[in-house]
Amino acid sequence: MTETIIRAKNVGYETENTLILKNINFEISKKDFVGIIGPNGAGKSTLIKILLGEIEGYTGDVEIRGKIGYVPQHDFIDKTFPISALEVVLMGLYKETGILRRFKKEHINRALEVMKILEIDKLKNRKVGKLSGGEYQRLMLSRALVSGPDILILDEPEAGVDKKGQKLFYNLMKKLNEEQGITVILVSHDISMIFSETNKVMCLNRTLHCHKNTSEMNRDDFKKIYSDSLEMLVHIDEPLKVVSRND
Amino acid sequence: MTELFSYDFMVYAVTAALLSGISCSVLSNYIVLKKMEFIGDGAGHTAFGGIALAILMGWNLNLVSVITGVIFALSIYFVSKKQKVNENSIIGILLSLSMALGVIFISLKKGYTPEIDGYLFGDILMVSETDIKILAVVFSAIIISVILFNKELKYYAFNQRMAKIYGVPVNAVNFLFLLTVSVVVVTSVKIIGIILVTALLLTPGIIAKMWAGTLNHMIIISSVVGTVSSVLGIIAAYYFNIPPGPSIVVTMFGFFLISFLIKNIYTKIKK
Repeated sequence: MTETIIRAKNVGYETENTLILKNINFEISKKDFVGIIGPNGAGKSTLIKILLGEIEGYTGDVEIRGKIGYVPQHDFIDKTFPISALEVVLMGLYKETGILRRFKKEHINRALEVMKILEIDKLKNRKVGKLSGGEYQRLMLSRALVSGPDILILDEPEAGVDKKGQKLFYNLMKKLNEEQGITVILVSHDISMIFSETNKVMCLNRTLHCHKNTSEMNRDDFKKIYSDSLEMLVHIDEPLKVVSRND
Repeated sequence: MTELFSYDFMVYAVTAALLSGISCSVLSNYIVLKKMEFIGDGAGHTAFGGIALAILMGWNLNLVSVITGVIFALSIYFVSKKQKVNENSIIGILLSLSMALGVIFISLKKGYTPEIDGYLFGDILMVSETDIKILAVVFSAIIISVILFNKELKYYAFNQRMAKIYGVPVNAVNFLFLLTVSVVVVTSVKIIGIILVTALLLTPGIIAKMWAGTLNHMIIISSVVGTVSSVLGIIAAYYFNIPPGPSIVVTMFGFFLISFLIKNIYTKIKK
């Protein structure tokens, strides 16, 4: 029997009379590789923030049985900020030292070990602003992994990274999921990637329209969340053409 | 040069300049990195209201100034947190309100108030032994905090959201930071003045950021810049008989200009 690692029951959230999420119910099992899809403003980021404990005042219950590692969107960073790659990874171990205590040799070794696996250990002293998009993404992943999480949440990790880098990144995710049993939750706009990499999909647009195995997804599931704005395209060895239009 | 230090007031002025120069310089790193440039201006101008009230009522000026600083910090923290109003908007509102109240209080006081000029631009003669003691306490608190909370301050400045997710007590750090800046500003106004204190809270950090590889290097560079320009500024103020605030600011700007030019030449040569 699969073990439930995250359970959400009747979760809802609204702010200043705007409904963000309503009646969200789901269970995620250990070792799942879940993709969350939905249009802009569907509440994906809010759901992630609830799972991360950043938002208070939501209704319903959320139960999490494990440690979470988080890879944020590739948002703006001050490229001249004087902080090294190693210092950023060590942030992921802050809870182990807490206030008033310095990082020990053991923490630094663990950080370097993860950076080595992700092939960025040679960049340990480099300022974060001098890293490429792909290197920065692997740095964020190192920080998320360094504390040995049970669950890994990734919020649009493909942003700012080229296609080749993305593929390598997703392969790595798959490896972590299959070999180390880490539960992966991936929020992405890249539907093709979601379909090729995940085993379960959650379709979100204010409420949860579907939550099923990736192989069982069909056109109607997309209709529910993307309403009239969806075009399904196929791109093989011929010019791109529309194979399905939802209007 | 030695006769300079034969006067008590000059010893006080130089000591005050050193203590406030280093205190402001250390804080300037975080202000620059967090892009909170408006905070120094806000705290300085807000202090004016408190100082004017103390002059009007004949109250203890240091005490009223510090209380004003604490109220300023508390207001920014709680209003921006609870009411979701932008931090800079609150600073702007409090700044003008306090200036307005300050002008009203001064106009209510009968007769001429020459000391107000000293608070606006700094005055060597105003620094007392008590001021030195207050500045020494503030200075010690800042240095100890930066050593003890080095990583908390670093992660708070780098990315407040992620720092919070990874367990850094950012709300507490943010509140203590606002409080420290406010208190440093009100205790430094006698030497640099309300109008110009913001320069001390920015320029050393900006210069340090041009050269530093780590935040700790930034703290060291900015402290050296703050110390040297404050002391040189005070000495120049004495010899040219000008207010110390503008003198320190002009000296500091000189360092900025030199640093900026050297950095540009260095970058071009490196290419």
